[in-house]
Formats: sequence, C-alpha cells, structure tokens
Amino acid sequence: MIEVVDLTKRYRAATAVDGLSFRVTDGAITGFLGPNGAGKTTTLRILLGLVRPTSGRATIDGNSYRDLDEPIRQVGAVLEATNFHPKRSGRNHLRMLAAAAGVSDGRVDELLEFVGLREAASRAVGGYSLGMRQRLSVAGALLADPRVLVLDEPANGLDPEGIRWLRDFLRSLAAEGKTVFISSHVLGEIQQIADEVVIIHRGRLVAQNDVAALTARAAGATRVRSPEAARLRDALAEAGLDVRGDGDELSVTAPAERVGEIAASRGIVLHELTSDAASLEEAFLALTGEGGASQ
Amino acid sequence: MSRLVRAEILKLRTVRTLLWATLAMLLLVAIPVVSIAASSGATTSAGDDRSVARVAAVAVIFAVLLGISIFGAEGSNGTITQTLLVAPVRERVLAAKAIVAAALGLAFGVLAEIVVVGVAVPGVSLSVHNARGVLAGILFASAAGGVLGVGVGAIFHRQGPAVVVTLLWLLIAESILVLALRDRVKYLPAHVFAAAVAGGDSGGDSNLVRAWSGVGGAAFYAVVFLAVGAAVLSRRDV
Repeated sequence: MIEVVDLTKRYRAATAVDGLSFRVTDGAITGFLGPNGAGKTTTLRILLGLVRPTSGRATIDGNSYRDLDEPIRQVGAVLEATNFHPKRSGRNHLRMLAAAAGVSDGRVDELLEFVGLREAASRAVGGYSLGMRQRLSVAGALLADPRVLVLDEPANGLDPEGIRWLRDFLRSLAAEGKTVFISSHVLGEIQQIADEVVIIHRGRLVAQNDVAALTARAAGATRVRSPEAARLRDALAEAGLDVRGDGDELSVTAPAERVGEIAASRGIVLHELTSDAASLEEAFLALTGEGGASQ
Repeated sequence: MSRLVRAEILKLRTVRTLLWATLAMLLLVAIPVVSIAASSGATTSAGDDRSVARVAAVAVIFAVLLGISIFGAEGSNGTITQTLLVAPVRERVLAAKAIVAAALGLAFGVLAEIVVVGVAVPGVSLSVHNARGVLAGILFASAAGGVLGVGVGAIFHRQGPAVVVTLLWLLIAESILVLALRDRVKYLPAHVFAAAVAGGDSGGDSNLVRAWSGVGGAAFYAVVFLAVGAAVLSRRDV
C-alpha cells in the first residue's frame, strides 16, 4: 500500500507539499489531482526516492522506495517524457534499464511490441514524438512487471488513439489486481478509469474519496418527485433547505438521505429520489476553487 | 553491482561519445609523436625518452573528461532519473560509474602509450626502459582521472559546467594560483597529476612533488572528489 504521512517539502521560502497525508488502496486505480503547482509531481518524486522530504514520509508497503528490495520489480514509474538520451535508440534505452534491473533483452522486445514501438525501436529517441516517448516510458516502467504503477501525467502528448490505448492498458492492469496511482490533468480520463481520487491544493489534501461519492458530494443537489410536492416543499423549507422547481419535481440543495428522512417523517410519498452527480471536473473546481485543471 | 557496471558499459556503447573521445585522444597523441619522429633523430638521454613518453599523458585529460561525461551526461539528459529509479541507492550508482571510468581511463592510457611506443620506438629509438616510470604514472593517473571526473560530474550534475570549470582549473587556475601559493601549488590537483606522470623527472620544475607522492596525491584527489560527489548526490533532489 502507498502511504503518505504528514509529508512536507519546502524549497527555501516556497512550500510545495504541506503536511500531506493519504493512502492509496491496493489493487485500485487512484487518480491524483490538483491545480498547477499543487505539489503532485513533488509528492510522486518523494514517493519514488528522487526528492528528499523536509519532513514526513511516503512509503510503499511501509518502506521508503530506497529501502525496497529490487524496487523496479515492485514499482514502475512513468515520469516526464524528456528523460532520454536523444542519440540513443528506444531499444537501447530499454536495454540499458534492463541490464541494471537484471531483466532479459527478450522482455525489452516484448514490451516494444506491446507499446507499439517495434518499428521505431532502432531509431534515436530524439526523433520520437512526445507520444512515442510516453509509450517508451510506459515500457520502461513495465520492464520488471511491477505490481504498483506510478504515473505522472501519462496522457501528455498522446493523441486520442494513444489515450484510448493508455486507458485500456490501465484498466487491464487494474483487472490483474495491480495498484495504479496516476496524476493527470485530463479529468475526463480520470473519471472514466479511476476508482478513487486524491485531490490536493497548495500542497494540502482537499479530498480523498471514490469518484462517485466525490461527484455527488460536490453537486450536493437532490432531485425529488412526489405526488404531494406542495406538502414536501413546505416540509423541506421548514427544515431550512433551499428548494427549487415547479410541479411534482423539486431540486433540493441537500443530500438525498436528508430529503428522504424529512419526507418519511411527514409520511409524504416519493416517486423519485436522485442525487444529481456533478462531473469530476465540477467536483474538482468546487473543491479547489480553481479555474484550471491540474498539470 | 555487476548489473550496474554492465548497464554503465551499455550506456557508453550505445552512444558515440566514447568513440569520438577515443579517436580525438588518439589523434592528439599521434600528431605530436609523429611530428617528433619526423623532425628529430634518436633520443640522446633518458630525459628525452621520458619527455617523448609524456605525450601519452593526454590520456589523463581525456579520462577526466570521460569521467565527467559518464555522470554529467546523465544529469544533462535527465536519464539519471531512470537510473535512480532502477538503483535508488545513489552511492552504488556512483561506485559503478567510478569503476567503469577507472577502467576506461586505464584503457585510454594503454591506447595512448601503444601509439607513443609504436611510433617513437622505431621513429626516435625511444627506450621504454628509461620511460617506464612515465608510462606507469600515466596509466595510474588515467585511471585516477576517470574516477575524479565522475566525482566532478556528480558535484556539478551537468556535463557542460563541469567540463568548463575543470578545463579552466587545469589550464588556467593553477597557473594563476602559483603567484599566491608559490611552491605550495604543487599540492593542487593538476600539479599532483603532473607529478604522477613525470616519472620522477620534474625537468627542473620545483612545483612538482616526487613521482610517488604524485601517484598518492592523484589517488587522494580521486577519492576526495568521488566522496564529495557522493555526498552532494545523496542530498540532491532529482
């Protein structure tokens, strides 16, 4: 299990991560969201042992990345798609990592095929598109078939086909019971694939929940239909709730449970009681108060 | 550790930096020694033999630069991130790079000496026996230079600044510092390495320690720079 406990990272006067704590559930896809500069990349890099925290800890199964036995066999990471020698071929890049990890060249060829880079494998990475580099990064992360995958903005630079490939790939990993922790600014994609999301803002945790609960919570509105709508309206208004709508359908700014309890207490018949879920983007904006998405 | 060493060798084999560096070094050794062979007669003293053999000391500078590149290129290209994801214990990564740099530095020294001996023995009747101290010193200094270069690369993290500062230090800084330090300048890195390759023949230069002291000093600086590089690397956010 990935666990972040009271994590803080300061760069001189700037605080990138500020007392952040959360857990990532094993065997699930967890989205990691936040506006630009929220501290997502810093948090991921601390988790991967690349950045030293000022205080707190980020662990995988209770161990820091550095203390893991053969970490590449446990955790695969996809970071920015610029970490390549421009003159080295894609295949040689993977062979270099494979040699350090004790993985065979056969696995390298298998992965090049898997990520669709077999044809370009002998070309220098400097000539790759951003999407091809992302695919090469994914191949590198999968070299030793890790059970945890950490991805920082993996959809960057991918065309629609690439994004679809990535989505199917992440779903297949989840189906195998692997843990996926993914930061992204493509909130629609996260909404489609993630079981849970962790949202941070200014280095602090804003919310952690499953996607459905989070979007319902952000919306906060309940649609209710009743043959006794007038009585229900009065009852809800007496309870201090904001009620809108005409006819037999009302919109109430309150959780469905509260609306249902009030109706039951007055013996009012309901024909429909529905939480109006917001999109993840709406939830994100409501929680962070930002006009832009994360990076 | 053997995996990391193999990976480091693979990194060098899969780009052309090593090839170009080797060719450039051989050229810079061959041109002066061929020139000497073409313009001079046979060497007339042991001092002449050592002087000719010292042409191969170019290998030491190339070994330092290659050592810098072995680390610094990873920092410049960002591949250090992936290297550290595979091997997060940074001291082990640095140790693997130092092993490879020492071996390549030694190989540079051997290649340079093969060129010098191959040209100068028939060309100017070079006595290898007279020059053996110089030749041995170059081999040791080349290996130590590679290790020192890795340490410098780790300190600067980027290839460009590391190469520029190193060349400025070797070619200019110590020459200027002579004015302030006088004969104590002989304890500075460039002078120590120069003493190591002098083979006990300082040519009247009082600013060089004895050959064995030079060898010891070269080893000392290689270890110090590597240790400082390790300390800097262990604290650096990547």
